[in-house]
Amino acid sequence: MLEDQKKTLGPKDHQVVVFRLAAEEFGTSIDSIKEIRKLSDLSITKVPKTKEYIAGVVNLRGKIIPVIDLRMRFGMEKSVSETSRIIVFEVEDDVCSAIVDEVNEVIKIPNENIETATSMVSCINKDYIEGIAKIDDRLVVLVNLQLIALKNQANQNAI
Amino acid sequence: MGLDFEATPEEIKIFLEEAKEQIQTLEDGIMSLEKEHGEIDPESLQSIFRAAHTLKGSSAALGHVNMAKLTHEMETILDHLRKKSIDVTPELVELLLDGIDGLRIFNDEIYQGKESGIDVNDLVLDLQNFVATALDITPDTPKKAPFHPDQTDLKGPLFDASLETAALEIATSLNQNVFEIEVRLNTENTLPSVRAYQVMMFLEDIGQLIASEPTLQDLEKDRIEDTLKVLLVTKTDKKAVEDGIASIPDCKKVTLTAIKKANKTEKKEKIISAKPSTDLARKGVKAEKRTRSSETVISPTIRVDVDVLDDLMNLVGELVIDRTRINSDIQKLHERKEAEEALEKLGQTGNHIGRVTEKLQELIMKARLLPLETLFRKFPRMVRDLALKAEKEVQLVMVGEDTEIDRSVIEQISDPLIHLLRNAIDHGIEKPEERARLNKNSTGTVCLSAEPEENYIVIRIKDDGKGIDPAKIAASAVKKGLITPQKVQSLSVKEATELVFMPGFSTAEEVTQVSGRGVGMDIVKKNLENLNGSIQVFTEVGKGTEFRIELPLTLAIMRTLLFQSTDNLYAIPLSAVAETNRISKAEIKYVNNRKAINLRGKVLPLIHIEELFNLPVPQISGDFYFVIVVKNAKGQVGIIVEKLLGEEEVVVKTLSKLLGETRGISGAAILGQGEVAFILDVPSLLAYVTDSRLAGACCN
Repeated sequence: MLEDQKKTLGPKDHQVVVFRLAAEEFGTSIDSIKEIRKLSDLSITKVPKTKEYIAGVVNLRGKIIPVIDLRMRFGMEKSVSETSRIIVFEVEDDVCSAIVDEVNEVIKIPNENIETATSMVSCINKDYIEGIAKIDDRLVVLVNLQLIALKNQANQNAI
Repeated sequence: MGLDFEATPEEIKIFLEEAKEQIQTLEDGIMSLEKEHGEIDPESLQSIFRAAHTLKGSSAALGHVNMAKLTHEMETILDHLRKKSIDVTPELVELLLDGIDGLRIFNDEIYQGKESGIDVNDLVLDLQNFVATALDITPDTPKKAPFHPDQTDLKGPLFDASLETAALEIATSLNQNVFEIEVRLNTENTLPSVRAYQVMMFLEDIGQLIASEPTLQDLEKDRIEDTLKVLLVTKTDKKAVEDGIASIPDCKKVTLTAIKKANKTEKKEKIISAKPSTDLARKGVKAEKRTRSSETVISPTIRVDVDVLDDLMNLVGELVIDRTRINSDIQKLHERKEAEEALEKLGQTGNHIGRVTEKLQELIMKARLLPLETLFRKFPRMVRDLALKAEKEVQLVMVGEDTEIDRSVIEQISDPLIHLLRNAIDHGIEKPEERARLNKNSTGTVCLSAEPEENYIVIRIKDDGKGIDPAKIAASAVKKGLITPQKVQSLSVKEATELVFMPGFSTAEEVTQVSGRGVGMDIVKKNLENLNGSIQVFTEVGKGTEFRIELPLTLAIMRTLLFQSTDNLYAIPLSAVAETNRISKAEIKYVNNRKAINLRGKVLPLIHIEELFNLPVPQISGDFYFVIVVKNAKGQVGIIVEKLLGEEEVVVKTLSKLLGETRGISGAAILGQGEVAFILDVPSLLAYVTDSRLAGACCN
């Protein structure tokens, strides 16, 4: 399953949601994204005894969905603003969400504009990076949200 | 021999479900054959035979040649049993049960899409050889005379030979007659379909309609000319049938032909020269059976009573009406017309929706219930095999299999129950000689019972074996380094017995014999607690042991006590709450640096809910604390909270695994305004308390 997630970059163009964390721009494939909501619209309930970067859970039309604070996840300080958004996405047969500073646009990126990530290109772990996209003179780091969410998964089968 | 079948996934699904049923019926039947020692009730033998026959047909139709072949051989043996040409012997039973295991393996092949590598021909050979030996048949038995239906009329048979053979089979087993009936109807003044229908109804009353031309469906559509043909099995005699039909108006001519069987052809038994590896096939089946995981694969489809679906439809219909009413009332409010009236009506509609949704909830939860029988029915065979292997005589008594429980719960308790049954047989029941010495019945009894009790289902596994000796358990625990000898002194008898639930109690060697998957009693307990259930053990040395399992009726809805503390909302399962109390701060004493009070003579340790979650403890103003006293098997703890919010029945939502570890929390609930409350997992919370207390004590 994880293998499938890794291979999201195929030979076609990619439709990508571009979002901002601090001063950096990131992008993720639109395929698994269910919705994008204003952070101020939703009420997040902190879950006791969870990792710091887990902002908590949110009640989305009767379903309780975990919320990852992507800034904290990537080692930045927590910060919310008017433009903060929650991106709700699918992970295998589950649903998760992440807080980002701003969602800029949804853009189609032709395959030739995407380079594989070399070594230290960003503050985040290379495992989550699927490539670097060049849009005009911007560099957008393409990340795999599913892998980021799955990394935190509780291993309930461990004895 | 590929597994590519010319069937749609739908058809394969249906096949698998029905095949599972047939195989289980076959197994149950064969087990009861063993019990009855040859005093076989013909009806049940007939139903076993029918199961094999149906399975043969459907597996052949699907294209699973191996399965069809094996079923055919088993059917042959069952046929011989039916005709009493073979007797029931333990060897025969063993052989048939191996055949059943083979069938299950083949069924699994389809399910998993992977071939098992079992060579069906060896199994088939074993079965054939058995029959040959039993019948003492030599290869050159001459064929007997072919089959002649006894015809009084020179017309050819009205129905297909296969139908007639089928009819004859049924008739023979029931000791009844077979008639071919042809009725010529008067078509002048009436609808012949009506008359034909009347004839069919009459015939159905007196016997079994095997076939008819035209069929009942055709009659309902008026598709008939002037002739009705029926193939009937009945115990009524020819004359009575004829007179009966003749009494129906407009039946011009009635012709009845009795079908009798002449000397049926005896099947020529072909004996292929015995290959030296005949036993390997059966060993292969046994080996395959062991390595296959004993999962209860609960099918992802359910059978629901059509009535339930109708009720659901009706309720949904009512909600649609409510929606329309709300919309119109909202419209009125917008236009500020008849606002008062509209508001009142909205209120009423709100109440109505509340009632309807409650009923919807109830119905859907009921639809999710499955009788425990689906789980229990594989136990007789399992117990039989285990007992044989352990060289013990064990009788399994099952009570209350019709008790219903949520399907997700059934899947989860399968392993714990299997483990407990194995324990009862391996460690509980003594060997027959031992039992005789102790003046016990040489056959031990294991009783598996289930019954509903309020909001719970109670499952009991009781054996009349040698019981659990607390002293031995304690000694074993000390030897395994699980507990210090000093601590053992302070344990009560109950606590000593419950040492079996400690992690690490089952040693590695015991575990592989048991199920090869590392299931110990501690895992059993954990599994049950994950379901919000519990397990207790009651035992008496020499007399026996009883394990008592309590499971909530449904996982989905829970009665809880809501409370708030430092802006967090929590819910505790009501079943875990002993009482709530308001205690004055002045009464608090300190034991080992921790708060405690004297509650009616016993020391109750106190802890802030925030401490359990490593959150900062709030300053609570006033002279009193609100305390929720929770209990579990270990003892009681008082949890200090800021505000009690009252009892509420909540819908339990599981928390996503993506949240990571959430110790102390077993789920979440959405409250009236949409807020999220966390449902506390009392056992793990309390474990934390005792652990930290021990830690505290050591550090002092």
